[in-house]
Amino acid sequence: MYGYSGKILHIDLTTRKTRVETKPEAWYKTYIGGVSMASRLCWENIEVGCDPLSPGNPICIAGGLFAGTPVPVGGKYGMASKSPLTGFIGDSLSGSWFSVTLKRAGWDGIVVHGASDEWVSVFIDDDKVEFRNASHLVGLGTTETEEAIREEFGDDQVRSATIGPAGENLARLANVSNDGRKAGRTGQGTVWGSKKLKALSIRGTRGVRVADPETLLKLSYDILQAAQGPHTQKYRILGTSSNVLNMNRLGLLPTRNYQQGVFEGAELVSGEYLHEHYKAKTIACAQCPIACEQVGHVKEGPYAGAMGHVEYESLYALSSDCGVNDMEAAIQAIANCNEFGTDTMSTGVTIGWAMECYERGVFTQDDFKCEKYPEGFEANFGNGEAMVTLTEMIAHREGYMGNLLAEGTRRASAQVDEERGTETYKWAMHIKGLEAPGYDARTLKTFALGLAVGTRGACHNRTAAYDPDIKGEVDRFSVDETRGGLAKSTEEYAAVYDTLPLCKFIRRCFTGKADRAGAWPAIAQLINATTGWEFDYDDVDLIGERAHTIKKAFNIREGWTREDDHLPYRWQHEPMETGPSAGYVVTDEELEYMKDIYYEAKGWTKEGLIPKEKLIALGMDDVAEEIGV
Amino acid sequence: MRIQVEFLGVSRLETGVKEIALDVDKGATFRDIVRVLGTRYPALIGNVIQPDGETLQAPNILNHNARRMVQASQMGDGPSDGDRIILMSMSAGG
Amino acid sequence: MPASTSKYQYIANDPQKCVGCQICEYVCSYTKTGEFNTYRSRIRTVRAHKILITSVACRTCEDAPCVIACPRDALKQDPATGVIHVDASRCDGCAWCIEACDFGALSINPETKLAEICDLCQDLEDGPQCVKWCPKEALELTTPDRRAQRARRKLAIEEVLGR
Repeated sequence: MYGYSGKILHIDLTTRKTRVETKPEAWYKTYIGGVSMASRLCWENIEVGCDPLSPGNPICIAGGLFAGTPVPVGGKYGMASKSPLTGFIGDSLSGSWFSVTLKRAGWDGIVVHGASDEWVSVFIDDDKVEFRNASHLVGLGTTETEEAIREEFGDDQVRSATIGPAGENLARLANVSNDGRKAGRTGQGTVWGSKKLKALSIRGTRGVRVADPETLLKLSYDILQAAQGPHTQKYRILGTSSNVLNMNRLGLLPTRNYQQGVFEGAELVSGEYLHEHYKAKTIACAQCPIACEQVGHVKEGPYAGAMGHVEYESLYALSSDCGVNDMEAAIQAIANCNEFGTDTMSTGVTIGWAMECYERGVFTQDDFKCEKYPEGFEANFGNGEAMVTLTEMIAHREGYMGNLLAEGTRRASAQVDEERGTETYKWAMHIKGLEAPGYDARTLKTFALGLAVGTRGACHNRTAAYDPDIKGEVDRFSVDETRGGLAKSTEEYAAVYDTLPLCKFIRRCFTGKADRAGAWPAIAQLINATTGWEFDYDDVDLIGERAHTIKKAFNIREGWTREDDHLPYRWQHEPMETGPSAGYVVTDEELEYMKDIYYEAKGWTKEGLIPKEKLIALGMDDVAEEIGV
Repeated sequence: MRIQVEFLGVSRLETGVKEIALDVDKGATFRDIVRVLGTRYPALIGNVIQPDGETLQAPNILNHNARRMVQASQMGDGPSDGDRIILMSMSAGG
Repeated sequence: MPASTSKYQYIANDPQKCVGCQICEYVCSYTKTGEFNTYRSRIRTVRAHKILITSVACRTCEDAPCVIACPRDALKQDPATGVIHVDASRCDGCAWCIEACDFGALSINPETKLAEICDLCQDLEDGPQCVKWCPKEALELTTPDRRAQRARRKLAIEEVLGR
């Protein structure tokens, strides 16, 4: 087989034993890599019904088909586990060197079972596996840990995925970091922390061989050249933060916990402002010719020295959503989340919820006691220092509030409502327990559907259904019979990229058009030049449907029902009062109708379950046996 | 008629301008307006406006009064006096 | 500190443009070995801090220290181009050349046990592949004199025209 080693590494932290599993080629053709393979490994290796923080929940890592080759933006890998935030599949993507060394060490995937009694880091040296005491690394930040390990080995090519204090403290918002990138959402870091796994390091010294290197090089070169032109200019020059003003103008920018969609301070926390005042440099992941990472650097003031790469999804959560118009506080908060190892989105939105609680009198200053502020502090919207301090408190479970918010919005809200007899659930902005993304869905109705049915919760990236709404290809303010098919189409499109994986920012660089017709043929060529297979347009298209289906099947087996596909209370009951998107909610009627037509478009039952024939047609016979209807 | 044109993102960077008031003929289409902008700000040609001077380079798009994103097929429509147009680069994600 | 002579070409990286994507390393290793393996690349990127990124290949020093250090006279420097060539019949992988090079431009291939160094892809018609492939045009085949000329011109433009 080209493109794969044919080997999955199993590591048991309880017994400290390893074993190698081989899979048939058909399995690779079905699951490919990335989120699909990782979710499939999770399906195969999890103790069904287990608590996400128990030893029965595996950490499943799946490499990238194109990692370690010159294919642009192919240096990515997937990670899956049962999410401590949602209780459903938590599938995450990260990028850069870790994916390359994984490939070069000769592993297609890694499954970590069980749990260690003591803090451990695992080192994979090509095909040797070593368990190392990690007690001296405990307490170190994510990049601090990476650096410490690199020092220990004295080898730049040892790459590590690590958790920071947040994962160590079992904050449910914890992520896994590598090479300055993150497997960011759903609490991957929490699972690592529950296993006392501080780091996973890999050294891969082998070369990567592909079926047709000359063709692969030619294809890669053309894509690389295209990636320097207008098709990526937005990412290269301003980065994704340029979405702040875009969303603000449309009335979609989450402001003060999604109370409004227009933020009066938007200019000050915009990508344009970052570019002018705070940008230090643009950098790239391994294997990427675009370079979209805009690194912000604060030179003076209370947050002098803060440096972090500023993405839109981090920025809205830690600025407008908290009512904060201070870019320096935002950069510091982002840097904190990066170093302590929490998901910027979930952290910011959870803080936004807490701020609203404070403003409504549910919390008092007292509730915010911590070491820095022994009397507590005011946590009103707009208070940048409160926001920054809370990022520290959450990662360390410090004080009543740090400990509460570390649980994530859903649990924190449920706990407070029980303790205090309040109704904070009405402004808890999550779906299935995963906090909402940077777009208010009240007037993005296709997107609202896509979020509601999303397998990992409120994830914009997995559904991608905001695209037709925001671009005006459909009327975002209303619902019609096309939305079910649209939501299916966008989520399966996204899933192709998440499975190979390829960064979606390259999507226009194949032919100039980002649609299936513009991208799938080129991707088929890349796959075939790498593996020697004969994939065509339809085979590429199926990649996405398969990826989404295995995740859905996982959820069904873990107890998902139609009721779990919901929307936050605010989006259903409280229209915005001002701005271009004022006056709308997604009604129950609209939501249930859209769910109906979505399930129908997917070929599922009215309850959202999957017919046996459908699973068999997708090559998932064993899944059909277990959960097919 | 007079319309407000706001530049966001790359177009703001290329022109160095945030917002202008533009006087155009009554009945001017969105396509006409793009042509006018390309002529006034040649830096837009390439990254924002295609070499033909009147077609927007994807993912750049015009927003009309914060409600409508003007689709390629609608570029023959036009604004009314006092309307607000935003030239934005719309790639969701990140 | 060795100095590069003005007539020898070498591959230089502009850290302001380099984004650390490592595509130069993939392409170099493939060109030389048929495999994608950054360990076997003759040009190597380095990230010192989050945003301090550059890449290094042989600097074609005058009186190249690696040549002087080699106890077996396995390294020869072409007097016309400054390019270092490794005589496989003499090299035994002792790695003294690596100690001598201040730039880390040499490596030892663990399989062949031979020293490896950038040879500017002299055998290829379109020249150095890394330069051809760099998406940010951060690499160029250049001489010290040309680099100095550009620096002076840039300074003049900045100082006089304020750009």
